Amino acid sequence: MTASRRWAAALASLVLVGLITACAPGADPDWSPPQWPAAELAVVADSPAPLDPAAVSGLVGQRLRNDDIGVQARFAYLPGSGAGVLPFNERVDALVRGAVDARAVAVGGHYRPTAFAPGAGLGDRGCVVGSTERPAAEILADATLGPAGGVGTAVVCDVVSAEGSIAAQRIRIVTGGPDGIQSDTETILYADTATGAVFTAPELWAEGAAAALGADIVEALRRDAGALSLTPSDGSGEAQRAAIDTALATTLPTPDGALVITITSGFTTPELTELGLKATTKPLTVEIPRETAEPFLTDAGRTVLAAAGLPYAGPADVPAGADRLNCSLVPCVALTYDDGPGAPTGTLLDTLRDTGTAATFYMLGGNASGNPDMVRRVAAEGHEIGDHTWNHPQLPKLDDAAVARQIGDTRALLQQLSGQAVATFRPPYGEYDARVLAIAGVPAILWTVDTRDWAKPADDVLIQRGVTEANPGGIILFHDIHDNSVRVAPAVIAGLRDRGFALATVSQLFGGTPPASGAWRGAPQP
Amino acid sequence: MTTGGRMPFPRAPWDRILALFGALGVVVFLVLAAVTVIPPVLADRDARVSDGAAPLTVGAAQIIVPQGWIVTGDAVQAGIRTPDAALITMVTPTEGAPEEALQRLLRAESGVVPTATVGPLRTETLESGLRIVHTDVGDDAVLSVIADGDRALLGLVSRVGEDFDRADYRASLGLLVAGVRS
Repeated sequence: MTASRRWAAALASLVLVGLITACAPGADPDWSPPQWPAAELAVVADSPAPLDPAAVSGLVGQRLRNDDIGVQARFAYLPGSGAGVLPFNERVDALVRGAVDARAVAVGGHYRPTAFAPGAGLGDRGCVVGSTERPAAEILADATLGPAGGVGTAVVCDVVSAEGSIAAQRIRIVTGGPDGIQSDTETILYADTATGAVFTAPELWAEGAAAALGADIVEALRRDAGALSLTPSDGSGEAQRAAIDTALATTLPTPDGALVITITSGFTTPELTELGLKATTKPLTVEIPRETAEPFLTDAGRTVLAAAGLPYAGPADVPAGADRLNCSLVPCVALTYDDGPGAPTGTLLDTLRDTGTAATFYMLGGNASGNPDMVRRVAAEGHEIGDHTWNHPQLPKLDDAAVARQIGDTRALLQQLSGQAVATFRPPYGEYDARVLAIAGVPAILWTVDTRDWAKPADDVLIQRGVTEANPGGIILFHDIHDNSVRVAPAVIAGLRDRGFALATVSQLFGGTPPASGAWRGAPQP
Repeated sequence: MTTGGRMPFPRAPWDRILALFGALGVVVFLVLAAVTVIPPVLADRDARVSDGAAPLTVGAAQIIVPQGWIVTGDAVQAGIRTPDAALITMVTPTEGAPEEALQRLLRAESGVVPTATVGPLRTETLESGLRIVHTDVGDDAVLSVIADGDRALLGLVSRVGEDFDRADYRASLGLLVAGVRS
C-alpha cells in the first residue's frame, strides 16, 4: 500500500467514526428529571409545646385528691363566669367529674371532696407544664400528679393554645398502677371565648378528613422510604383510618397557621410494610399546612386556624370571687370576717388580692356607714358581703321591729354601697331563733370553726385553729377588726391551700347560690 | 596550506527520527482514540429517541419508555437513559421468583460479598398491577426486578452518573417502571 493510500484509509476511518458519532443522540444537559409532587404534609420533630399557664391571663388552677378511691386531678378554668367561658368550664368539670365517678365505681367507693392534714403539699394548683406529654406510668407514679401510691386515676392538664379568642386545654386521664395502664385518654377542649362555643379537636375536622390526610401521610412516608411506584395510597385501610382518626383528636395549631397532629406509635399500613418500613416506634408528628387543611375543616376548625398566631384576647383576670368553683369536686372552705370594716380591713384586702383569695365579710351597718369606701372596695375586689346587723345586738332579745331594723337597715346600706345583693346574714354571737330567721328573710350563716381571735391568742395558735380545724364545706370565723387575724391571714390561706382546700365565698360554698332560708353552720357535703 | 573545516551536521537522519516519533505519536493517539471512543460509539450506533408511544420489547415484557429518553440495545438487553444521560438503566429479561431474581442481579452486580452497601428490599405494586422488588445499592444504583405476580419478568440495573444524586432521579425511575407491561 502506498503512503497516499495509507493516509486515505486513515482519513476514511476518522470520517466513519465521526459519522457514527454524529448519528448517535447526544445528551441534553438542560433536561431536568421530574420530581415527585412536593409533599403537602411534613413530619416534624415535635408538636407545639404546651404553654406556661401563668402566661394565660386569669386561668384558675384547680386540684383535687381523694385517697379513698385513689384519684388526683389537676385542671384549670377560664376566668370569670360569663357566657364566653361558662360552657368551656362546664365541659372541663364534666371531664373531671366523669373520671372521678368512673374511679369511684371501679373501686366501689363514693367520691367526696377531701382535705388532708397540714403539710400535704397541695397548695400548687392547675396544670403542670408538659405533664400531659409524660409517659402514663410516670404520671401515675408522680406524687404531684398521680393518685396516692401510684394506683388509681390521674387527671392532668396542659394549656395548649391561647391565640386570639381561642383558648385550649389538653386533659389527659390515666388509670392504672405499677402493674399496668388500664386506660389512657386525652381530650383537647377548645373555647372560642368570643362566642362561648366549645369544641373538641376532632370537631375541627369535617368528615372524610381522616382518609384524605391519611393518604397524604402514607404517601409522604412512602416517598421518604424510597418508593418507586406512582400509585398513591388511597387511604382506605381501616387501621390506617382509625389511627388518623385518633390523631385528629390531637390537633393543635402552630403560630405559623398550620395544624399539627400526632399519630401514636405503632402506625403502619400494608404499603409501608411492603416497603420494609416497620410500625413506628415513636409518635409521629405531622404538620398540615393551612391550605391543605382548609378543605377538610369545619367552621370550628377554621375559627381555630384563623386565630393562629394572634395575641391572646381571651377574658381578662377577674377577682377570685367571680371565678368558677365547684365545691362538689374540690374541698372548699369559706373564710369569713365579721364586725368590719375596721382599721385592718385594707391590709386584709391587700393580702386577699395578692393571694387570689375570695372571702366573705359580715359587716356591721354602723361600721359600714362610717367607712363606705372600704365597703365599696370589698365589693369591687370580688368579695361577698353579708349582713351582721347594725351594732351587734343579741337578736333574740330584741322585739320584732328592732330585729327588722337591725337586719333591714344594714342590708339596705350594704346593698347601696356595694351594689351587690346581700343574701345572707350572720346573727351576732351566733344567737338566733325561728322568729329572728322569719324576720330576717334570708338565711343565717354561722360557722364551723371559731378561731376566737377576739381573745388575742398567739399567732401560731390562731393559725393552727384556722388551718387545722377546717373541714370541707366548713366556714371559718375571723374578725377583720383584730390585727392578729389580719396578720395571720397569709399563713392561714397558705395552710388551708396546702391541705387541699379551695377558698370560697359563702355563695360559692353552697354551689353558687346561698340557701333560700334557714340557719347553716356549713355547706352540706355529698 | 591546508584548508579544512568541520564536517556538515548530518541533518537528514535526525529529521527522519523526529518525523518517525511524530508519526508514532499520531498512531498511538489514533489507537487510543479508537479503543476508547469507538466501542461506545459503536455500541450506541443503534441509539434512538423514544416517542413515548412505541413499546420496547425486552424478553416477555414491553416497556413504554418516556418520550425523549434514549434507548439502545435489543430484546435481550436494552439500555435506557434519561435525556441528560444522568440515569442509565440496563434492562434484561429474567425469570423465577422476583426476590430470587433480585438476589441473582445483586450477585452479578456486586458479587457474593457485596462491594457496596445494599439497602432493604422494598416491594410495591405498580399502577399496571405488576410488582416491583427493589433495593438501593451503594450511593448511585437501584437494582430492581419487575414481576407479574410471582413470575419475574425484567431485571433492571439503574445507575446515576457520579456528578448526580440518585434521589433526584428516583421519580424518573418511577416513570420508567410505570411503563412496563407484561
